[in-house]
Amino acid sequence: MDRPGFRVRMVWLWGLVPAIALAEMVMQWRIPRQEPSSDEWKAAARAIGAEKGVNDLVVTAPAWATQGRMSLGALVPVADFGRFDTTRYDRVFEVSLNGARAPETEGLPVESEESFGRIAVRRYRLSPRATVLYDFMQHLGEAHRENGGYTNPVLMIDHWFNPRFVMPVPLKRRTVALTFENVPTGGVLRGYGLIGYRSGRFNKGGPVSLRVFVDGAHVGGASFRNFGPLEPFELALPGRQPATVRFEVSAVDNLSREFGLAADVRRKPGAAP
Amino acid sequence: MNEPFHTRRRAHHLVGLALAAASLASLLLSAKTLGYARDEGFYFVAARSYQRWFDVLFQEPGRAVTKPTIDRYWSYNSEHPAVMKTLFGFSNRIFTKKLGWLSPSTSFRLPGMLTAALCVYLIYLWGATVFGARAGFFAAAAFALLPRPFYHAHLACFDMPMTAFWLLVTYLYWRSLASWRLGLAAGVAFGFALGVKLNAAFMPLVLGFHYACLVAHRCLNRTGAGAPWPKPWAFLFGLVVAPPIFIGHWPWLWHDTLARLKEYVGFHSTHSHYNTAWFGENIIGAPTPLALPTVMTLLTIPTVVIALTLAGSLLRLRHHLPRFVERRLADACPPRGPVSTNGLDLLLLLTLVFPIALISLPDIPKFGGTKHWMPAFPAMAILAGAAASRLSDLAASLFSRFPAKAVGAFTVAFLLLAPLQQTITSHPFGLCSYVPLVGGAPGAASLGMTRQFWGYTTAGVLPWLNEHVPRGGTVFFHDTVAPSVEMFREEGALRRDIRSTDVRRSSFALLHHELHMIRNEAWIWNDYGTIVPAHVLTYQGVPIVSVYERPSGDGRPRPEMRGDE
Repeated sequence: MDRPGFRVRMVWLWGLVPAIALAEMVMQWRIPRQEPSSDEWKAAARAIGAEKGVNDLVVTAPAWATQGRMSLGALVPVADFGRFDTTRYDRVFEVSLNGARAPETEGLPVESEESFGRIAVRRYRLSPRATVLYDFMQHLGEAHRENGGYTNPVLMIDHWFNPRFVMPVPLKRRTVALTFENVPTGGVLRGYGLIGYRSGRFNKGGPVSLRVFVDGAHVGGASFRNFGPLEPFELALPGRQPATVRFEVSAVDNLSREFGLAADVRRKPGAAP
Repeated sequence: MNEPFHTRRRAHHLVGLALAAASLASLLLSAKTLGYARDEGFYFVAARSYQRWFDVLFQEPGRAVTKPTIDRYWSYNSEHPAVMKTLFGFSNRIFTKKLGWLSPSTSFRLPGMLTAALCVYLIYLWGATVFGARAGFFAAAAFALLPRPFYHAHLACFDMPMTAFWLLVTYLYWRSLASWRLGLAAGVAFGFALGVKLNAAFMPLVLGFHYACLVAHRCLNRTGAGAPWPKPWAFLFGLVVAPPIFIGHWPWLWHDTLARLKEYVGFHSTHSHYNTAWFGENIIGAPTPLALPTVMTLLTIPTVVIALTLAGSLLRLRHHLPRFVERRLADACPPRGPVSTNGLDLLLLLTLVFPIALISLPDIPKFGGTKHWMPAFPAMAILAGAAASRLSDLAASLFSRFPAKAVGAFTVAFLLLAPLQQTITSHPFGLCSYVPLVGGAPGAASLGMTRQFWGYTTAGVLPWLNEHVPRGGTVFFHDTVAPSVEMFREEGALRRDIRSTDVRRSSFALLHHELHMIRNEAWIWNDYGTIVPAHVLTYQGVPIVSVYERPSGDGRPRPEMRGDE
């Protein structure tokens, strides 16, 4: 063994300890200085407000920076805030702190970027958005409700703690139905079902079933379970005349859970307007 | 170094007491800005209830010991024993009601702070007597400057007291291996430790294992044939004096003793799982992640202390290497520091590892940040102290142009700067603190770790509420329980006319950010019809408490989506 060499290595190894201490101090000093000021948030919001269109989405990265909502305000409508996906948007404005990226912008090329102190606003273009012919959420108040139901959509929390804007449907021993009149057809009925998160102790129970009827005919459905994947269901909606669409929701047990439904009718991809 | 064991004992006591006094002073001075933790609210109520029983005891002793009277005053919060709650109550009676020296909350908290000071004293005493004064100083100061334990040291809760009693019993047990008097003291301390919290019931496992190892070593080691046998006094006295102390201190056990003991043990053996965020997942049931206590320790204890603990452990391990390794290392890296007396190194290692290993078990509920394995931290600090002392010796030899004592003192002081900085900057957000090497609170938030718990951060938004809530206005205080809100009112931190209520009847609503609490935030969003907070309290840029204000003129009917939590 090279003993002097060994001793030198030991001294260097010990030298790591004060180096760690110093690094910790510098980092601890830097961390609070990376927090954007309210002026920086406001400047970013002003810039987005000047450019944002009605079909554009605003997201914050990292997602925990919820204080940004104070400045972004109406730039993030509730429906956008509780979106299931980005298929209804043209562009995304990403408000980024310290270089963070939002999952919605992963893999997308940056169209433009502007800095406001410690905040960067980046713009991305999404794939061509879906043309929505009818949004059931906007017509919930007019829907005919059987065995309960609510008149306005709410934000419900999914099992991964994301807020989702849905039509709340109470789970009961009897089937609960929502019926919408004069729904345009000739497209695709697309939607999401969601069993809302309650608490670990209550996230039990069998599946929740959704059945969809068009003018009285059963056209399809979906089944949802606790912690199940959040995937859209799609049903073809043939015909040219407006139709009556009826959603039937039923569950066999643990009726204390919450169920939410988000759906629209959209033009088939590639179909002529 | 090789300082003889048990020398300069009086000086060690004096320095230890001075450090303890400094620790207590820092806690008293910094208590005002710290909101009341969820559990503190319950213990304020319990302490007052138990004091009312003492009133009866002083006036009508005969009536006080009857079952109906005991049940009336002692049934509240009977899932925990009463040593600390009784002390909280007496402290409040003496320092607030009689002397008027302290505010109600500070007097309730004083006994907990004293146990933190006791920790500092014992850590110095133990560290200094075995590894030298510099090691003891670093250990005591480093423990006092751990951000999360510093937070817990303020509270009228049981976690810091449990840490202090665990350390006290362990230290006395170690000393009792050669003294029956200290064995008696260990037995008495163990009785009171049982009266602090259930965790103490696990101590005989650790100490018993240690003792068995000592006896086995004594039997197997022929060269030590003439050495005295380790004395089992602590166990004998523990068996004799601890049970009567435990039952005697807690009037609730005086009637139906066996049934109530069973109820007490049953409550904890089937303890509910509470929510803990773990890399973006919400843990609320078995099996819980094995690595959680270890990872949380690494993420919340200043990294320099972790590095020194590791170095200190290796330094001590150097004394216990097999002979073939010993022969290779002897010249290049001789063992430093005193030899292990009465299994000191094994005891420190067990004290460090056992609390963390116990909570790591997959069936054990994991919640409350790092508080349930805090008894590991004094041993961690002592081992870190041994390494800091060695490093300061090394620095003195490298910078031999300067006085060795000055270089040593400078080195120790420098190593304490990072914990000091983290503790100062994390106050009063102790439970939100994470080490800077993971990016502090923002880094932990991005990793999806627990942001806080116990709803204690309400104190940070009280000035805003006092300014913005109209006279007689209503506020939903979320995770801050009613007795804690009442304490804010009692101490003038919250305007007395501000009423506490539920979301639907409130004009303002608080949300303490935790992963699972977003469901509660959704109640507010849906009921208030807005997702835009009026005020957000942040720590290092991470939202801690959001305050929502109900938009004026908002009379829309809301769906009832609230449930069980």
